Amino acid sequence: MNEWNIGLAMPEWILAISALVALFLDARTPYHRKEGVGNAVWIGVIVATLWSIMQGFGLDGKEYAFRGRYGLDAFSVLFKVIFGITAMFVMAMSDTWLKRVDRGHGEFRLLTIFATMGMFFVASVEDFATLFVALELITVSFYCLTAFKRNDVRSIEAGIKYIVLGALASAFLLLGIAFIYGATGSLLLRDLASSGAADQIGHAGGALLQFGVLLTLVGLGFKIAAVPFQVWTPDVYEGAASPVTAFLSMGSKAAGFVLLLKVVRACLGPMADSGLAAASSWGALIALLAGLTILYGNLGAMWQGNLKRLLGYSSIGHAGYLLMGVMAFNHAGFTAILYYLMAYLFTVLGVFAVVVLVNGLTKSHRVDDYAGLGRTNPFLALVLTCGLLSLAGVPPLAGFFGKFLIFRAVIAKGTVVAYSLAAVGSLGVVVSMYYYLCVVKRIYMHEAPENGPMKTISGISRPMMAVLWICLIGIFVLGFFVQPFMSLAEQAASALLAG
Amino acid sequence: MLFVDILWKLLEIVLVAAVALPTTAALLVWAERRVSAFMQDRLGPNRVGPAGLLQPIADLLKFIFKEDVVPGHVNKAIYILAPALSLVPALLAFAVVPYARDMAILDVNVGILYVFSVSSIAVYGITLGGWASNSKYSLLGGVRASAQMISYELALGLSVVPVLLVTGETHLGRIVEWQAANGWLVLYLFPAWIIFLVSSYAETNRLPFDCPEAETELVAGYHTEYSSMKFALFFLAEYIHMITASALTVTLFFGGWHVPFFTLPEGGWGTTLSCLAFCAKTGFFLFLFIWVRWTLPRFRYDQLMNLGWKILLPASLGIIMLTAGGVALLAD
Amino acid sequence: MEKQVSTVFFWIFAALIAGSGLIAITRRNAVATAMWASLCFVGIAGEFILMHAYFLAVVEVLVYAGAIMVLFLFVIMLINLREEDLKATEGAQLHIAGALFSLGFLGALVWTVRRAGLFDIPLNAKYVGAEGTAAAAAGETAQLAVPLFSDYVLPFEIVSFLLLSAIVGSVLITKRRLS
Repeated sequence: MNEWNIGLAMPEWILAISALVALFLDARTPYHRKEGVGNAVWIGVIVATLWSIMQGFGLDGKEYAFRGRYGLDAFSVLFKVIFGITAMFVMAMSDTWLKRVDRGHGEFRLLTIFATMGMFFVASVEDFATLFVALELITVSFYCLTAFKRNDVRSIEAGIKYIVLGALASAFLLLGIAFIYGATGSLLLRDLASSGAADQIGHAGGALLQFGVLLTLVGLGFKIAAVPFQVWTPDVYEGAASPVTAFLSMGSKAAGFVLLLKVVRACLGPMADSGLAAASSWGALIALLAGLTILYGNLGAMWQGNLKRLLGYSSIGHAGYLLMGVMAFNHAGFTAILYYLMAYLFTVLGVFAVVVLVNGLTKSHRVDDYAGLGRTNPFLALVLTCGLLSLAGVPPLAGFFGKFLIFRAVIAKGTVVAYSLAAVGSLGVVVSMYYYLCVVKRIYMHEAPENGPMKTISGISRPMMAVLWICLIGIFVLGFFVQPFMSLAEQAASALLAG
Repeated sequence: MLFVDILWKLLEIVLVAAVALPTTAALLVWAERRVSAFMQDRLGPNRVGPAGLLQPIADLLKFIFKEDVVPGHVNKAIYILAPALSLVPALLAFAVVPYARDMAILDVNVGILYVFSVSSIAVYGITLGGWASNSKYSLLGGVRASAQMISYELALGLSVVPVLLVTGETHLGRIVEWQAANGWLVLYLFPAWIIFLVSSYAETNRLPFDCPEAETELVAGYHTEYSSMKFALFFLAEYIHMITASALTVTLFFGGWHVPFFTLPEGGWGTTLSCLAFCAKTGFFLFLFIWVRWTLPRFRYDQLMNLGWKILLPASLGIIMLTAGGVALLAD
Repeated sequence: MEKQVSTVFFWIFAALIAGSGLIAITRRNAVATAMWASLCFVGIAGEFILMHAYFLAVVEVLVYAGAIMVLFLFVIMLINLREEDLKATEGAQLHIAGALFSLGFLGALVWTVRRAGLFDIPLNAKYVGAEGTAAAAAGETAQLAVPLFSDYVLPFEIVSFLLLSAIVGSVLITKRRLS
């Protein structure tokens, strides 16, 4: 464990090198020829993802690098692959989207790869110092990406809201880390799990530790957009460019959940193991947050006329479902979260791919402007419909199975809190059914308005087409062929629990 | 700590901060005027006292008796605070400089960082003075000052890193001792010294980098609205910054109090001689300040920024890498 | 003797930090806020000195008061807000909510620290003039540097990319023409 073993972090180094190459090319090439930058970034992400997959095959238990401050196990590999795929999809979308803007092409790609790099590091975090800087690498890149359209007031507003609230959340996170360090004297996550943190709960130091964990959860709650730290979400989702919103809704959220799972596992795991009363009160707290998040997200989404805002609220709702899995706090719950995120990857990115394409034609995100999409662009309408239905959790699709696993894990807990949470969750599902189907209705049942903007969209680029197809297939495959993905999620959850 | 020790320390502080530094600054003003006069084939002030040496005292009296005008449109609290904020860091920064063998007011391990942190505060005085004056020339001067000083602080700080790498010390006294044992650092780190020198000219707002008070463009820059003793404080601060910058150049690169090819005797005489050596070296660099001022024209503002960010900063980073490589190779 | 003096200075610096921090957040004039905030940083540096953490003290002043706040000042001066612009942001309810939240947070902090028993430890023993700290301070810079470049080299490297990302982003947002 005390070895450097720098090669273990090869995917991150690949990303770093490609980012530096891209930076150099960006500085060297004139404005109209930024393809080199794009190629460097694409190659970097593809190679890094493939490398991670290869590492996953050769993995034996858990391996450490940087004297035990960087860890690689099935859990990290799974998330690195998820982040890699997310980044590729987002880059395909941004290639399409960037054709409509006339500035900052190179910078956009650079920031994307910096954020991806942060996500890769996040998946391998072993101590709080790395946790904080990796999370900030993601967040700072996203601040800039959110405010990318500097001539658009809403983009700037979104950027400012995101940076102010994000800075506040970072402050909470740091203070929490300071308290945890003060209580345990170590920044390593595994020291927390093994240093008798559970024993301390009853003692003096326990107060510091608990307060620290609470503050850390506040900081991470911001990243995953859980109530009451969700206020930024709809505005930022609406104001940011669509590829950025897609990246935010998948990449940033998944990164937040990786850290949440790791911290919860390290801090609350020992408590739960020793069956302390404190564990159940933490469980109740998380359940409360999960319930509120589900209700807020789904009820808020009902009134939205803007599809991106609607997706923002729905993303809050999904954070709530994922928190349900955290509340379950066992192998089944973690497996469910991982499966849910895999399903969410294809679902939400498929939806956003369509949003990017349609926005290119209509220049708007109003739900009304999707009327008649079923006639004019049947394939896009199909992908969008499948995505929305999967988000809602309609049976044979990917989203359904994720939700099913989560509810099963929660109900298996058998406590009153768990049952009530499940009830609230079901209510949320019903509500979400309503607003997703409203959009679907608009797509198929309504005529495209006369002289309306909606026409057949032509010239969809090849990567974009691939994204649409992969998402469509993914939505069905994760709904029908559960077993292989389920076993992946189970392996990763076991790795997480093994520490 | 004994009471007597504290008393001695206080006496030392008073001697350096209230006597030595202001006196040197006053002499410097006189020297500046005389040297510039000779350079321009004039005589300069030579009436008050022998060779005009008492001229600074006359100037001081004039400053004291002038009317202290506080314009109506200024932000009063900050306007009054600014000159003091400009002078105090200048005096504080000198505290760690070893001005003779085993002598320094403040003996701290992180001496060099202390100097940087205190002089980084100095920019407040100029910036706030410019802002509080509430006039366009002052404001422009203040904005220029903050931008310039932040930019050159980087190059200044980075040009000192090679010194730390070579000597392995952040304690100024021990850096000088290292040089006494191994030879002056300027011999090892000549390029770093050049960067240090150039940056220190920018940090002290001296020509060729005196954009914050460029007379031809900004009337008098950040102190346009100041008069009487408040102006004198700004003036004094600038000259004390020059002294500190020269003293640091001597300490870091030219062996401080060390006299080459000569072993200083033990005891009081040695200390006195070392102090004289230090003063002589510092005096030379002060003369260099004046020499440069009356020789070179002012940089344009964008040229100044380009020099700082695109030449000095990368160059100092490169020197750091080379030095680090050299140190690592020689260490084995 | 030394302990008593240190304790007195501890409280002076503590009052300086809390007082200037409080004043900083209640000023309407942005320049005044920046000035009080930098005074707050100087107070923090003072506390570090009492703990014999000279390096941290110096860096605190150098980085926060000397660099970050100067940049803030620079921006404030360039924007040059007028009184009318500042009045527009008034909102009593928001202020009350903010104050209540802050007080609540303060209460939680105090409660936690009290429950952890930190109030029972005499000040001198914990913070001031503790045995060996002066000796440790001699090699303090090295003590910080060695872990930074060995155990924590990974976060250190990530920070360099973080800064690179911030630079790219700020150029992107602030520059009118990218050519």
